[in-house]
Amino acid sequence: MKEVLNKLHKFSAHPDSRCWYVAWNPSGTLLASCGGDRAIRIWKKEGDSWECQNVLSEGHQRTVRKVAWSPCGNYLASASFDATTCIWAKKGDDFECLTVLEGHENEVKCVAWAPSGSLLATCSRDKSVWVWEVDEEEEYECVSVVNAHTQDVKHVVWHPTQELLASASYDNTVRLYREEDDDWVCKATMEGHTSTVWSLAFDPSGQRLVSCSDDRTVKIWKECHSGEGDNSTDTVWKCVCTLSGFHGRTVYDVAWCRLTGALATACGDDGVRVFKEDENSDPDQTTFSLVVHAAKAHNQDVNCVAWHPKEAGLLASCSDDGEIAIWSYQAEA
Amino acid sequence: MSWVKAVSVVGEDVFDEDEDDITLQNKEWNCNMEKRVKDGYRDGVDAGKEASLQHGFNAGYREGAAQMVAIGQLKGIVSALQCWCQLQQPDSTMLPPIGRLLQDVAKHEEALMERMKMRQLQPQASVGEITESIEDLGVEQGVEHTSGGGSCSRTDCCSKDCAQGEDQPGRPCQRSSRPSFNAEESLEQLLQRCVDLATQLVKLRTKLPGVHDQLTSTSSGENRSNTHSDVRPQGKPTAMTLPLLFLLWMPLAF
Amino acid sequence: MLKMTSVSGSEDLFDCILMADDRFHGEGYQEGFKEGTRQGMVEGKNHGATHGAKLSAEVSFYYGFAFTWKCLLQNNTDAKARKRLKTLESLTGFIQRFPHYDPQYENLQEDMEKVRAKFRQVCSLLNVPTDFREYVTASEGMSF
Repeated sequence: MKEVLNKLHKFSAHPDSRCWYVAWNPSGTLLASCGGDRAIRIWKKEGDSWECQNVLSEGHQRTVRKVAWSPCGNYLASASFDATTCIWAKKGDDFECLTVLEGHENEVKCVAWAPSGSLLATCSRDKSVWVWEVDEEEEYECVSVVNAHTQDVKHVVWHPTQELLASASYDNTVRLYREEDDDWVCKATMEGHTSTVWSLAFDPSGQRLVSCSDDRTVKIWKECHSGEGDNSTDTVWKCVCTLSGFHGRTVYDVAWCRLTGALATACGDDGVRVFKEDENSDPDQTTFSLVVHAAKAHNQDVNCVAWHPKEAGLLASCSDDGEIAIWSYQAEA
Repeated sequence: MSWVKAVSVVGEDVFDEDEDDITLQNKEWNCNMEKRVKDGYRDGVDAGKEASLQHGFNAGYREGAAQMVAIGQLKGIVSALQCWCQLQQPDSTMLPPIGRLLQDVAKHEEALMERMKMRQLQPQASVGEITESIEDLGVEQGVEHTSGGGSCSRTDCCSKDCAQGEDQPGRPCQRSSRPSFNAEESLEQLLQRCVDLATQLVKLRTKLPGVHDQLTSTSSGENRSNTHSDVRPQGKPTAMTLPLLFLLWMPLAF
Repeated sequence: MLKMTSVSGSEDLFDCILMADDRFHGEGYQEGFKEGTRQGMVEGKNHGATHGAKLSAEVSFYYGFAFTWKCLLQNNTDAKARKRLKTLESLTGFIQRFPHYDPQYENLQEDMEKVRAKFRQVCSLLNVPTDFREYVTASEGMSF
């Protein structure tokens, strides 16, 4: 049985600019994109085409690097190089800027909501990771600033069910944080990549984490329970799989499908790839196989890949050429 | 006695024997041994340095750290007052004097840091030389933040000024209305200014319950009693005065 | 002392040369070690003083800042002020326990980063303008 990646749509999302990131809302009805044109766009499928429903261009003074939907789908957070994070509230078909989170010294690289929706994490070139708490009055307060990385922090992602946060950095490491005595502290460091770690994703169960890097590899990490020395609360995450030799250039993003378990990657060689875990592979030394490679998925670097939350195999990708592509990944009969 | 001299003396003592045929050999020998002493000296300097650098660093670190505690805290206090004032009452008349004080505190801190850097530039200087260079620095810095009328109590300071200002022999001490740099003294002045400003802020605040409300949103009624009435249920004197004054004298003990 | 007459004498001479060699080197070494120790102390001290002063000025600034805000807010009972106070107390408490004046403290850099992080959280909670944080500086450049 052969797996294929069919291109369903391709459209210019941020003309004359880069499209940095795309994010599906939790119900999968809307796709948010952001780019170098300082704008956020909300896309909706109307009939057979993708229409831009909203342009949020007033919030940021510089590039919008990432966007994230709250778990309830009523809020959108945007991280910008202007050092701020905007929280947008969805009011009917419109969005209004609810608040602006300030505090980072320079470029905010990523924003992510915790599964509960009451915590938000941001990270920045200023090397810090901030955790924010949202109260009932929609007020955001910083609950912790963590200076664990020694360089630019590129990405933050929450565990799918626990209040466990992961970050990836220019210092080649991945770190994990938990709350401890009113503060968020680094509980684990994953070393192994030999260059910038660009992005991260948890598997559907949250037992494994995948990272992708400028070293052209993708690594899968698994939590290991250390035998005797259990007096420390620090956890150990071990690399159980390295996908090397598949990517021609930097791997900018990786997405783990909640529905199919497939891994998709976005690469600087303009390609989009899908990997599947081999059946019966040893969980402590797992193996993945490349099942599809869309070589010229875009005209330039692919910056992001995002699996649809409800429709298995539906994938969105975006690129430096400002375009968004929608793909269908499936087994060909 | 320098080590080179010591070597030749030792050399003569040891080798000055009567045999003429070995005089040349002796000379060569002396030369070699002198070189050995020099090598040894150089190795010794390196080893000694290596052995003591860390000790020196540690001792210096502690000293440097101790010196900056008070001024650092004062800067933090004044900054906090400034931020608080800016947030509560952006058009307050208190802001300009607080800003000036903060500038002077920052200047004082810089001067202290400069003083330490001066020492670093002259690693060989004796203690006396260092003190002098600090005085030179103090003369310049002093103009900025000491008011006139400061008496020049140090005679060496005055005489030095006189020697330098020979063209104006008639008024040797006028120039030292800027006394030599004295960190402790002006720190106290700065602290006093801070206390004065804080006291004014407290008065202002108790007169303006509205502002107070905005800032603190304390339980109703409490902030309306702006008198020093002793029927306060908590038995505390005015809410702000005590902690602030406590605060202002507290840091030096930290 | 220098005799070349006997066979065994050549060994004596050799030992003698070696001994003298060591002795003179040793004498110079001792002299040099004293001088080196003095120089090292002076250089190290100056270097250390600047480092200690910088770090102490920064930590003391945070302490004075946090302590003052604690006083300014301490009579407030609402939830927001309590949160702020708690964070301020966590900062002052941490600084008091932090032996920043001890250059041999093993977690000096690590704890300093924690103090800085806490201070930034404090500033965020107090709505203190960003340009105020003079100690927290970053280099310029492009990055994605």
